[in-house]
Amino acid sequence: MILLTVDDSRTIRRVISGIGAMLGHEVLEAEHGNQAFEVLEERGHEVALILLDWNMPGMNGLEVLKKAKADKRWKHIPVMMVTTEGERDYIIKAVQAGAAHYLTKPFTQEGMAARIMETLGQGGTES
Amino acid sequence: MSGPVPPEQQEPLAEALKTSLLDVLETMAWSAVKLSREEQHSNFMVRGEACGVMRVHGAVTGLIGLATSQYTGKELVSRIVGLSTDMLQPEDITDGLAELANLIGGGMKAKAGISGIHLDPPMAMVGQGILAEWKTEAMTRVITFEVGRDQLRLYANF
Repeated sequence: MILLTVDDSRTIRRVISGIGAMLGHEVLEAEHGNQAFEVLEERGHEVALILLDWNMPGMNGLEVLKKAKADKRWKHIPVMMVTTEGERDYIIKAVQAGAAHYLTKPFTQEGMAARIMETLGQGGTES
Repeated sequence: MSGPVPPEQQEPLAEALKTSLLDVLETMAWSAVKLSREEQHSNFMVRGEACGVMRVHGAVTGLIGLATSQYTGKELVSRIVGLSTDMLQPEDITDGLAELANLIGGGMKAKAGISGIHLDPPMAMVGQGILAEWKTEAMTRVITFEVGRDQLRLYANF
Protein backbone atom coordinates (compact mmCIF):
# COMPACT_ATOMS: atom_id res chain seq x y z
CA MET A 1 0.00 0.00 0.00
CA ILE A 2 1.00 3.60 -0.43
CA LEU A 3 1.05 6.10 2.43
CA LEU A 4 1.53 9.86 2.27
CA THR A 5 3.28 11.67 5.12
CA VAL A 6 2.82 15.45 5.24
CA ASP A 7 5.16 17.14 7.70
CA ASP A 8 7.51 20.11 7.46
CA SER A 9 10.12 18.21 9.46
CA ARG A 10 12.24 15.93 7.30
CA THR A 11 13.16 14.12 10.52
CA ILE A 12 9.56 13.11 11.14
CA ARG A 13 9.03 12.25 7.46
CA ARG A 14 12.06 9.97 7.64
CA VAL A 15 10.86 8.31 10.83
CA ILE A 16 7.41 7.67 9.34
CA SER A 17 8.91 6.49 6.05
CA GLY A 18 11.06 4.03 7.98
CA ILE A 19 8.06 2.67 9.88
CA GLY A 20 6.03 2.45 6.66
CA ALA A 21 8.85 0.60 4.92
CA MET A 22 9.14 -1.77 7.88
CA LEU A 23 5.45 -2.59 7.38
CA GLY A 24 6.03 -3.15 3.67
CA HIS A 25 4.43 0.08 2.42
CA GLU A 26 5.71 2.71 0.03
CA VAL A 27 5.69 6.15 1.67
CA LEU A 28 5.34 9.36 -0.34
CA GLU A 29 6.45 12.59 1.31
CA ALA A 30 5.23 16.18 1.25
CA GLU A 31 6.62 19.01 3.36
CA HIS A 32 3.53 21.23 3.32
CA GLY A 33 -0.11 21.26 2.33
CA ASN A 34 0.32 22.51 -1.22
CA GLN A 35 2.90 19.83 -1.94
CA ALA A 36 0.55 17.23 -0.47
CA PHE A 37 -2.14 18.17 -3.00
CA GLU A 38 0.41 18.03 -5.82
CA VAL A 39 1.22 14.47 -4.74
CA LEU A 40 -2.48 13.63 -4.48
CA GLU A 41 -3.12 15.01 -7.98
CA GLU A 42 -0.45 12.62 -9.31
CA ARG A 43 -0.91 9.55 -7.16
CA GLY A 44 -3.95 10.17 -4.99
CA HIS A 45 -5.75 7.19 -6.51
CA GLU A 46 -3.08 4.93 -5.00
CA VAL A 47 -2.80 6.51 -1.53
CA ALA A 48 -4.29 4.36 1.24
CA LEU A 49 -3.53 6.61 4.23
CA ILE A 50 -2.45 10.20 4.86
CA LEU A 51 -0.36 10.98 7.97
CA LEU A 52 -0.75 14.68 8.59
CA ASP A 53 1.08 17.17 10.81
CA TRP A 54 -0.85 20.14 12.24
CA ASN A 55 1.65 23.02 12.35
CA MET A 56 3.15 23.63 8.93
CA PRO A 57 3.97 26.67 6.83
CA GLY A 58 1.05 27.78 4.64
CA MET A 59 -2.03 25.66 5.14
CA ASN A 60 -2.15 24.03 8.56
CA GLY A 61 -3.04 20.38 8.98
CA LEU A 62 -6.69 21.07 9.76
CA GLU A 63 -7.05 23.10 6.57
CA VAL A 64 -5.40 20.32 4.56
CA LEU A 65 -7.72 17.79 6.17
CA LYS A 66 -10.83 19.84 5.37
CA LYS A 67 -9.72 20.42 1.78
CA ALA A 68 -9.00 16.71 1.26
CA LYS A 69 -12.35 15.69 2.74
CA ALA A 70 -14.16 18.21 0.53
CA ASP A 71 -12.79 16.64 -2.63
CA LYS A 72 -14.63 13.55 -3.84
CA ARG A 73 -11.39 12.12 -5.27
CA TRP A 74 -9.73 11.97 -1.87
CA LYS A 75 -12.46 12.08 0.77
CA HIS A 76 -12.34 8.28 1.16
CA ILE A 77 -8.64 8.28 2.14
CA PRO A 78 -8.29 7.93 5.93
CA VAL A 79 -6.27 10.67 7.57
CA MET A 80 -4.25 10.25 10.76
CA MET A 81 -3.19 13.46 12.45
CA VAL A 82 0.38 13.18 13.80
CA THR A 83 1.14 16.26 15.85
CA THR A 84 2.53 17.76 19.04
CA GLU A 85 -0.86 19.48 19.55
CA GLY A 86 -2.46 17.28 22.18
CA GLU A 87 -5.14 19.61 23.54
CA ARG A 88 -8.71 18.38 23.55
CA ASP A 89 -9.92 21.24 21.34
CA TYR A 90 -7.50 20.27 18.59
CA ILE A 91 -8.51 16.62 18.73
CA ILE A 92 -12.21 17.48 18.58
CA LYS A 93 -11.71 19.81 15.61
CA ALA A 94 -9.73 17.16 13.73
CA VAL A 95 -12.25 14.38 14.40
CA GLN A 96 -15.13 16.67 13.41
CA ALA A 97 -13.31 17.44 10.17
CA GLY A 98 -13.01 13.72 9.41
CA ALA A 99 -9.69 12.54 10.88
CA ALA A 100 -9.70 8.78 11.39
CA HIS A 101 -7.03 8.81 14.08
CA TYR A 102 -5.07 11.29 16.17
CA LEU A 103 -1.57 10.44 17.35
CA THR A 104 0.46 12.87 19.42
CA LYS A 105 4.22 13.23 19.13
CA PRO A 106 6.43 11.87 20.53
CA PHE A 107 5.36 8.41 19.46
CA THR A 108 7.05 5.04 19.63
CA GLN A 109 7.74 3.07 16.46
CA GLU A 110 5.49 0.33 17.79
CA GLY A 111 2.68 2.76 18.57
CA MET A 112 2.83 4.35 15.14
CA ALA A 113 3.05 0.97 13.39
CA ALA A 114 0.01 -0.30 15.32
CA ARG A 115 -2.03 2.79 14.41
CA ILE A 116 -1.11 2.50 10.74
CA MET A 117 -2.08 -1.17 10.67
CA GLU A 118 -5.30 -0.46 12.53
CA THR A 119 -6.28 2.34 10.18
CA LEU A 120 -5.51 0.20 7.16
CA GLY A 121 -7.60 -2.61 8.60
CA GLN A 122 -4.62 -4.87 9.11
CA GLY A 123 -5.05 -5.45 12.84
CA GLY A 124 -2.82 -3.80 15.39
CA THR A 125 -3.72 -2.54 18.80
CA GLU A 126 -4.12 0.78 20.52
CA SER A 127 -0.82 2.20 21.74
CA MET B 1 11.56 38.99 24.97
CA SER B 2 9.79 37.37 27.88
CA GLY B 3 6.67 38.36 29.73
CA PRO B 4 5.77 37.78 33.32
CA VAL B 5 4.56 34.34 34.21
CA PRO B 6 2.79 34.10 37.59
CA PRO B 7 5.09 32.46 40.15
CA GLU B 8 2.57 29.66 40.70
CA GLN B 9 2.96 28.69 37.03
CA GLN B 10 6.77 28.79 36.91
CA GLU B 11 7.38 25.53 38.69
CA PRO B 12 4.68 23.47 36.90
CA LEU B 13 5.99 24.75 33.56
CA ALA B 14 9.59 23.88 34.39
CA GLU B 15 8.53 20.44 35.63
CA ALA B 16 6.48 19.88 32.46
CA LEU B 17 9.47 20.88 30.36
CA LYS B 18 11.83 18.51 32.18
CA THR B 19 9.38 15.62 32.00
CA SER B 20 8.79 16.33 28.33
CA LEU B 21 12.51 16.22 27.53
CA LEU B 22 12.93 12.89 29.32
CA ASP B 23 9.85 11.54 27.57
CA VAL B 24 10.93 12.67 24.10
CA LEU B 25 14.50 11.41 24.36
CA GLU B 26 13.47 8.07 25.81
CA THR B 27 10.65 7.57 23.30
CA MET B 28 12.17 8.88 20.07
CA ALA B 29 15.93 8.69 20.63
CA TRP B 30 16.17 5.71 23.00
CA SER B 31 18.50 7.70 25.18
CA ALA B 32 18.73 7.27 28.92
CA VAL B 33 18.96 10.76 30.34
CA LYS B 34 19.62 11.82 33.92
CA LEU B 35 18.92 15.17 35.55
CA SER B 36 22.22 16.62 36.74
CA ARG B 37 21.73 20.18 38.03
CA GLU B 38 19.72 23.36 37.72
CA GLU B 39 20.94 26.97 37.66
CA GLN B 40 19.68 30.47 36.91
CA HIS B 41 21.39 32.64 34.31
CA SER B 42 20.74 36.13 33.01
CA ASN B 43 21.03 35.06 29.39
CA PHE B 44 21.01 32.07 27.08
CA MET B 45 24.32 31.50 25.35
CA VAL B 46 25.48 28.80 22.96
CA ARG B 47 29.14 28.49 22.00
CA GLY B 48 30.21 26.11 19.23
CA GLU B 49 27.44 23.67 20.01
CA ALA B 50 24.31 22.24 18.44
CA CYS B 51 21.13 23.91 19.58
CA GLY B 52 17.41 24.14 18.94
CA VAL B 53 15.30 27.09 20.09
CA MET B 54 11.64 28.06 19.97
CA ARG B 55 9.59 31.02 21.10
CA VAL B 56 6.58 30.52 23.33
CA HIS B 57 3.68 32.97 23.28
CA GLY B 58 0.03 33.27 24.23
CA ALA B 59 -0.76 32.34 27.82
CA VAL B 60 2.98 32.05 28.47
CA THR B 61 5.62 34.20 26.78
CA GLY B 62 9.26 33.29 26.56
CA LEU B 63 11.83 31.04 25.01
CA ILE B 64 12.81 27.42 25.36
CA GLY B 65 15.92 25.83 23.96
CA LEU B 66 18.28 22.93 24.14
CA ALA B 67 22.01 22.76 23.52
CA THR B 68 24.51 19.95 23.46
CA SER B 69 27.80 19.05 21.84
CA GLN B 70 27.79 18.55 18.10
CA TYR B 71 28.70 14.90 18.70
CA THR B 72 25.68 14.25 20.93
CA GLY B 73 23.38 16.32 18.70
CA LYS B 74 24.34 14.15 15.75
CA GLU B 75 24.00 10.98 17.80
CA LEU B 76 20.50 11.88 19.00
CA VAL B 77 19.31 12.70 15.48
CA SER B 78 20.88 9.49 14.20
CA ARG B 79 18.89 7.47 16.72
CA ILE B 80 15.65 9.30 15.94
CA VAL B 81 15.82 8.76 12.17
CA GLY B 82 17.46 5.34 12.37
CA LEU B 83 20.46 6.23 10.18
CA SER B 84 24.14 6.05 11.06
CA THR B 85 25.79 9.38 11.89
CA ASP B 86 27.96 9.28 8.76
CA MET B 87 24.84 9.18 6.59
CA LEU B 88 23.50 12.42 8.04
CA GLN B 89 23.92 15.71 6.21
CA PRO B 90 24.31 18.99 8.16
CA GLU B 91 20.70 19.92 7.30
CA ASP B 92 19.56 16.62 8.80
CA ILE B 93 21.16 17.61 12.10
CA THR B 94 19.60 21.08 12.18
CA ASP B 95 16.18 19.73 11.21
CA GLY B 96 16.47 16.99 13.83
CA LEU B 97 17.42 19.44 16.59
CA ALA B 98 14.65 21.83 15.58
CA GLU B 99 12.20 18.93 15.70
CA LEU B 100 13.53 17.88 19.12
CA ALA B 101 12.83 21.41 20.40
CA ASN B 102 9.37 21.22 18.81
CA LEU B 103 8.62 17.86 20.42
CA ILE B 104 9.84 19.00 23.83
CA GLY B 105 7.85 22.25 23.61
CA GLY B 106 4.74 20.37 22.48
CA GLY B 107 5.15 17.94 25.35
CA MET B 108 5.49 20.81 27.80
CA LYS B 109 2.22 22.31 26.53
CA ALA B 110 0.40 19.03 27.00
CA LYS B 111 1.86 18.30 30.43
CA ALA B 112 1.61 21.82 31.89
CA GLY B 113 -2.18 21.80 31.67
CA ILE B 114 -2.28 25.53 30.78
CA SER B 115 -4.46 26.25 27.77
CA GLY B 116 -3.62 28.88 25.19
CA ILE B 117 0.14 28.29 24.98
CA HIS B 118 1.39 28.67 21.40
CA LEU B 119 4.75 27.66 19.99
CA ASP B 120 6.46 29.32 17.05
CA PRO B 121 8.26 27.15 14.50
CA PRO B 122 11.62 26.07 15.95
CA MET B 123 15.04 27.08 14.71
CA ALA B 124 18.34 25.23 15.05
CA MET B 125 22.04 26.01 14.71
CA VAL B 126 25.06 23.77 14.52
CA GLY B 127 28.61 24.93 14.04
CA GLN B 128 32.12 25.09 15.46
CA GLY B 129 32.41 28.85 15.32
CA ILE B 130 28.93 29.79 16.48
CA LEU B 131 28.51 32.11 19.39
CA ALA B 132 24.85 32.97 19.92
CA GLU B 133 23.26 34.86 22.75
CA TRP B 134 19.61 35.58 23.49
CA LYS B 135 18.99 38.50 25.82
CA THR B 136 16.14 37.80 28.17
CA GLU B 137 14.23 39.98 30.61
CA ALA B 138 13.50 37.24 33.10
CA MET B 139 16.17 34.93 34.49
CA THR B 140 16.73 31.81 32.44
CA ARG B 141 16.53 28.45 34.13
CA VAL B 142 19.32 26.23 32.81
CA ILE B 143 18.67 22.55 33.48
CA THR B 144 21.56 20.22 32.76
CA PHE B 145 21.07 16.54 31.96
CA GLU B 146 23.61 13.80 31.54
CA VAL B 147 23.33 11.98 28.21
CA GLY B 148 25.85 9.15 28.14
CA ARG B 149 29.19 10.80 28.94
CA ASP B 150 28.03 14.14 27.64
CA GLN B 151 25.65 16.86 28.77
CA LEU B 152 22.55 18.43 27.33
CA ARG B 153 21.27 21.76 28.61
CA LEU B 154 17.64 22.77 28.57
CA TYR B 155 16.88 26.51 28.72
CA ALA B 156 13.58 27.74 30.08
CA ASN B 157 12.91 31.43 29.97
CA PHE B 158 9.36 32.43 30.87
